[in-house]
Amino acid sequence: MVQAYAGHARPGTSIIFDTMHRDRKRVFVDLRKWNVPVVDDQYEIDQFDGDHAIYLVSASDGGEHRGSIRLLPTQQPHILGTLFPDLCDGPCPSGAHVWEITRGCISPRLPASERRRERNRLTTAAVQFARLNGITQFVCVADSGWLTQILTLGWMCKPLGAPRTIAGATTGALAIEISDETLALLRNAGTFEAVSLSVVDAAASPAT
Amino acid sequence: MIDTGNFKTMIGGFLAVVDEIDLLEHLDRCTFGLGFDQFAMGHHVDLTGPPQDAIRLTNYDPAWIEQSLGERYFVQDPIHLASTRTAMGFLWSDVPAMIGMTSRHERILKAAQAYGLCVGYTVPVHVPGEYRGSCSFGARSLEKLAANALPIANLVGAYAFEAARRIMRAKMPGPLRAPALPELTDRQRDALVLIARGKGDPEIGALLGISPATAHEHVENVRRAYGNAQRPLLIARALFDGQISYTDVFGR
Repeated sequence: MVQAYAGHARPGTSIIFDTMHRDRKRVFVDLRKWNVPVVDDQYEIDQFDGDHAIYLVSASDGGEHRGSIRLLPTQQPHILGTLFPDLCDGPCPSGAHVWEITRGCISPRLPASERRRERNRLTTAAVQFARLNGITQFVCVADSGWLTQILTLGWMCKPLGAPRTIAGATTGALAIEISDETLALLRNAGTFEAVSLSVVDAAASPAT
Repeated sequence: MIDTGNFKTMIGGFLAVVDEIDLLEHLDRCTFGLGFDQFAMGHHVDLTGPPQDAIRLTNYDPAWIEQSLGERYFVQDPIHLASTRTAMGFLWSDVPAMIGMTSRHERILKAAQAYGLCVGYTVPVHVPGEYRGSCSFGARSLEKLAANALPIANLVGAYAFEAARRIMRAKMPGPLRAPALPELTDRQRDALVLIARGKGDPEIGALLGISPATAHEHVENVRRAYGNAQRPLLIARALFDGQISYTDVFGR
């Protein structure tokens, strides 16, 4: 099951959020060596983790993070519009129907075969969430290795501008189209994984 | 400089191709648009007997292909080895800094130069659960290389691979799957790493905390998954296709 959390829970108030931020630190700081802020030496939390974010989280029965994706509204500060607007030819897409997909994170504690399934569950959930909420486009900023992986998921994905070398890595902005066809495209690519999606208000469920 | 219009045409072209011929022609055009002459893309598999679900497309000189197949260069290709060490595109001139070059590596690079492959750029394409792969661009020199070509080459390689996957999926009947590595359980994979470290079945059992008989069963299952390969070939194939990495075996 994937739960969609609207808004953010502060460190120490939610097992799911704490374990998510710990896994984000393991993946983005320890493994991928990103230069992003770490809180309390254990949580990767940035300026965009806040009330406007939506977190799609897959958790174990004990409420521990297995994988997650963060969605940010493009009408609020977000990575592409705020930090990397030059990656778009022309203005960055923005609107109620366009959301940014960021911090796709699968727990490194899961074995390899499980990681792939979680990736598929979260991708399917993201598309279902989009369809339920009138989202017709996801945008994202991707570097080298991730570009290939995002394309492999099977959805219709186009660059928003020519990629550039930023801090030594090829980095580009992508637009993912969400339409009636998208779930079928995921099925064709072997990405579709049946998943149930439920919505939770993060602020209203402390210490979940 | 590759301008916005040309860039859009390059990427849009991959989304539109319907068969391998289309893809080959379009990749050829993009290669020239970037400022290279030659390209080779595909999965890193045994090229003398590739599995059905492996992708290979190239405009390399057929005489070079024949020579490198005959001499089995692909087994010790330094470019391929370097591509396993990084997720980012790299110039062939960077390779000596990325791997320890042996004299055989040097000989392979030198042999390639005779066929116009003097300089080049390789984009690793690695998707978990799939054979390792790459898309390489080569030329006599970099003088025609557009100023923004290299980041764009990364995108071209990624889109070319995805187009190839899409075409192959359309050709294959039945449940559609991406080209897959032999699927191993975690325990089987653990055993495989120990085989690669030269351990026999009893040692594998001791290290994994299982009986020698169970260890033997894991080893036999792994060999069966790789078509009953004997240990040396099994190790070579598993490293080659990315099932296990050099880091797994030697640590870092």
